[in-house]
Amino acid sequence: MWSKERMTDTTGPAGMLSDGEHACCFYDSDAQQHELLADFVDAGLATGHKVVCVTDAASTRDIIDRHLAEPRVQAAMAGGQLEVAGSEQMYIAGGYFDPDQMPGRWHQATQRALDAGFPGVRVTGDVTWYARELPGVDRLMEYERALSGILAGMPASALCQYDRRRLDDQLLAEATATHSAVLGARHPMPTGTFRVLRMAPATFQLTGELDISGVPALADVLDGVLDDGVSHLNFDLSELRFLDAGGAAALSRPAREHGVTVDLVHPQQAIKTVLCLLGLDTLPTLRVQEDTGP
Amino acid sequence: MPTPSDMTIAHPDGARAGFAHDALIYGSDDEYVDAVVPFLEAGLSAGDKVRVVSTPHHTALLRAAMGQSDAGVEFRTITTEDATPARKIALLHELCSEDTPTANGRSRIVGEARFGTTTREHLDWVRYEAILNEVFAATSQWFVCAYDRRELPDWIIQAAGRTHPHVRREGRRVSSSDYDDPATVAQDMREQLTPLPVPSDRDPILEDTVDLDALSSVRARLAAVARESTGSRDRADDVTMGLNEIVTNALEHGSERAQVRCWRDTRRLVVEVTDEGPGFDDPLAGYWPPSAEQPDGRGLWLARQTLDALEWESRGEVGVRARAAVKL
Repeated sequence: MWSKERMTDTTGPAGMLSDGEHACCFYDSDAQQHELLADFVDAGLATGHKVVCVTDAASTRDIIDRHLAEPRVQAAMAGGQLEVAGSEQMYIAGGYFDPDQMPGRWHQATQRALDAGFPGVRVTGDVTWYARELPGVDRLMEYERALSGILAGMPASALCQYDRRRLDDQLLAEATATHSAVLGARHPMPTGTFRVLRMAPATFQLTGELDISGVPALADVLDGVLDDGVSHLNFDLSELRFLDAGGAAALSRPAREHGVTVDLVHPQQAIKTVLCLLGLDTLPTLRVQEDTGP
Repeated sequence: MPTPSDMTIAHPDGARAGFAHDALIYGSDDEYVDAVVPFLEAGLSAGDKVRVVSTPHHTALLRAAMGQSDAGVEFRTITTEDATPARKIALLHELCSEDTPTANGRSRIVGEARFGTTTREHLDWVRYEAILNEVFAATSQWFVCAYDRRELPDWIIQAAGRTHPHVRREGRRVSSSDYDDPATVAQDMREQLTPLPVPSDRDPILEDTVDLDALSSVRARLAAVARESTGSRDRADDVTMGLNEIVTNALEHGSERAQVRCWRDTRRLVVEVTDEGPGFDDPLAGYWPPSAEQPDGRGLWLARQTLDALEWESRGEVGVRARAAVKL
């Protein structure tokens, strides 16, 4: 029997793939996915391979965009070494999944990389589209079983990403069985680390613990956004586990001093308590949205 | 009912709204009712917002005495379970902020001086009375605090004159000749309240050094102690939040590094945070309610709201010692 514990064991960093290899990785938060992707992209660019990221959820796309902000990665994108595609272009073209078309797409992608002068291609794909009700998605495992064979001997490798929050245990167990390795982030962030992820121009996800050491980072991000003249901001707080008084003051500043309407979405109980004790829940420009379940 | 003229005077500042804080010394139910009812009725007829924040017993007495005329008075029964001076200030602040402006912009609250049973609690609540004069100075509230001279120690009845600009007794309202500067009273009380004692003959259950880099991990250890001690995740979250603010305060205003120690016995958890900073002398720190528009620098407010007791001592060159207690 596979257990969740078993599935958290990793055999190497997400960037460590050799040609022909077919590995998978699991993530529990957008921050974790960000780390995995950053590792994968950095390692692929470093070895001179063509790197393709196939995103699924809107959040993946934004994580990539965030990473792209780095000049080095931007250069790779402009030079054609890095490519970002949606799952509609790779897996579910036409609104359905057909594993029979996948070998052709892999050959095509590999050939394009070789034609452009790269030694090979590394593809990472988020398969969260499995959770959508589309024709053929139930054939995902059939594809995963076949992919190791398709890649064997080709200058191509694959890292399949599984979102543990959205995919069921049965599927995750099968994923572990159908990949040669389960990879993890090279330098996983300590769980308490505060992170601001920009999910959309005016939407941010805050993860970890926001205390006195995280306030400068948040203030920097907000200064930039306020300079752009936004009128509305969304903060997803579902993965924020701690907020102190200074953090609450910084987070509410756009609403207090700049007339920006701010939505705080899905705060945990301890976060709501802080907002309430500081009276911030009474600000007309700041709305606290309760968790309405998954 | 005969109404002594000085009980029905207009708002102390006349037409202008201002803050007033009276102590009412009484010795029987009748004396209480005879003093409070005219004050409430005068407020109603003047168009003031009128509230009673009191015990079920006093609430029942007042409602019976007023009959139909209690319409318009807002009664709120106080719970003393987790009452601390800081939480009572938060409640009063909340009531004041709820006030929709009345025609004249004034409010009256009749409250109860409840002083607990121990000397520490007595000192803490005397300090509270002093602090009200500062914290609500800019409001148009007229607080009347009832003191039962049958139950309270003499020194507390005496102290009422020190903490209230006006005293009412035997049907008269007079200005208090003993009235003292609130910060001075608060400082006097603080000197008697420090050091907050730790469980004797117990070794610390946690000893740690904390700086900015270690803040998150020390907070995790404090959270574990709080969970183990309180047995409630929610309560532990609140306590951790409060303790984090004390540590943050030490690192921000004290020194780069601070020491944290925890003790526990069956009744309480005591947490000490010492830093090597110059210290701060504001005896009102942590009692100022935050405003939603200006929440900066309100960490110690969070600490006082979530912890059951909290005292600081500046110890000269040795630095500052903060101790907090959580009832178990």
